[in-house]
Amino acid sequence: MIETDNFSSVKSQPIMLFCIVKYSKMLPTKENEMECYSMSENEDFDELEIEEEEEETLETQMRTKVPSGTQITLFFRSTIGPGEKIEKLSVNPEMGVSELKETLGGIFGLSPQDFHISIGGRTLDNDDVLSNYDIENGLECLIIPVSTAGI
Amino acid sequence: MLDYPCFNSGNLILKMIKMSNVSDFTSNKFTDEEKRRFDRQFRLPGWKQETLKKSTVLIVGIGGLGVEVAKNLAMVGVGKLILVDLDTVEYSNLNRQVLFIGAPEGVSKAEFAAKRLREMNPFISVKAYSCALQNLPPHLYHEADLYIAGLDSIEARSELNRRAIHNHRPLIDAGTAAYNGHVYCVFPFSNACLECDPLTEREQDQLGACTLVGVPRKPAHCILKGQLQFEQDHGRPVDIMKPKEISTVREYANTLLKAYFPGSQPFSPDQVIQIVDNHEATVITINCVMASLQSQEAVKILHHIHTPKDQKKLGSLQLNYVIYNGLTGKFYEMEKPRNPDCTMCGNTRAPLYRIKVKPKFLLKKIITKLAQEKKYQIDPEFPPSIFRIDSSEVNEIDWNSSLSEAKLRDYETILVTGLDDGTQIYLTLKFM
Repeated sequence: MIETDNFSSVKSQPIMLFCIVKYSKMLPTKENEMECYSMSENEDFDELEIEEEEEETLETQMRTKVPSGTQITLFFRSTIGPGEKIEKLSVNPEMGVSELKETLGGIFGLSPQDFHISIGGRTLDNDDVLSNYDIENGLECLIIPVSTAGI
Repeated sequence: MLDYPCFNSGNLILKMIKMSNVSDFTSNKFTDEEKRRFDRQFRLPGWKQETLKKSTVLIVGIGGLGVEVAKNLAMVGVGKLILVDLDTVEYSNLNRQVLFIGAPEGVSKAEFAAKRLREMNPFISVKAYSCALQNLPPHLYHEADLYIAGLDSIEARSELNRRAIHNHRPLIDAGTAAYNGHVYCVFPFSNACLECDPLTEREQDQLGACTLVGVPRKPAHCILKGQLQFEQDHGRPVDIMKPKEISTVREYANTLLKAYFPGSQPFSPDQVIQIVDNHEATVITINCVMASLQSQEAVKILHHIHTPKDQKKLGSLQLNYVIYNGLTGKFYEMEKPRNPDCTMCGNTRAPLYRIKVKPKFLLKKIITKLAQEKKYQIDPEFPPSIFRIDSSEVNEIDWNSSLSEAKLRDYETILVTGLDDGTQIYLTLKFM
């Protein structure tokens, strides 16, 4: 069982605590198992037991929408390459992700298929636009590797 | 699977307090030889060798990462390791996969690795499965305390992610890309799973690359199309050792490149070879860093899982996505938010039920019974469809068959669609 006070919390303590409660709930315990159902008309089902997953809901996160048309300034930090670089870029929030990747590829000397952009832990989808993510003026975004190899 | 002492019995509480004071040095679970072997580990604060001994870890993919993780966990004394890999040993593995040194080319990776690990630590049990992770007997996913991924594709990761969510097991994923790597532990329903960040690019990538008619979306697709054209013309794959064949593909690719990506530099023979004979650049130093991080997280998670609630755990768990840059020596950490709309762990996911059943039960009756209990509607004229999903070949199962007739196994999960005009549910069958 995972205990609450032993989880590492990096930034947001309340969220972490919420997570742990959930995690402890999900482990199979006796309370999670539902009672035996018996079915008189068919003795086959004397021992049929149904167990259901813990009901659990997530709050939908609100995305901060930046008014379109206004340019915003973002910082991009590269986690790839021989030197850590941070570049400042003014972008239109309606800019497409693939277009932004082309631009950043040029600035950082990377091929667009070799990196993803990560904003607030979310990996940007090539077919999306920037404003669909939590962006705000002065935000730092990460340029992360597409590290799928392991064999 | 986890045994928790009953807290209302005074006797047991006493026993537990006593247990917490028993060190591995005086444990009766180890032979003298084991005690001598693990002596230096026994001295680690918070370490519980007994906990590791009773643990089971499933390692999927015995390559650059998997070999290192398996070696570490065997050395450390994890009681049972289950190794899964469909592949066989190739000479190009020997720059980094230490367990295969001396192995004949073509031998099963899982089996050869298991043999080596048993030699390295005869006190543990190692099981090998030379099959795709999709075809692994489902009860093994239940038996393992946690899963470790040493995979090279998004598809295989997705599949393992589903098993982790459905069996409520932590999944320790890692991956490398040249001098970079990442490690991420999925704790189902606690942090983001691997499906929380869906990328449309993934599907389109295959569409763009894998058909001759589709428009190439990336310059590299031109080479893949050249390769497909060659295979169609010659009825066999391109032999990269033959410069003439590479040049045929190159000419085709450069014609496409000119049409779709004007201004791009034409492909060199080297670039063509790298894409046709598609292998990731990879080196043992980066693999070892990532695999060691996976192994250490595994050791901690096993301690956490098996330590009773009121006792102190070993360290704290890393819930964040960790990136390593081997060229700068820097680590980066980011918190991955859960996606409320995630198809695997979000609010609208298909629910999963576990049912205790006998193999002779009819699927029809089990599902009808479940529908009654859980208030799902079944249209007698259009009964739900049942799909086998714990297999590399997904197929439909006859509604009128029994579990044994349908060859369904212990802890197998099936997908039932068409309840309430379209509702889907997952059912895990637990044999009595």
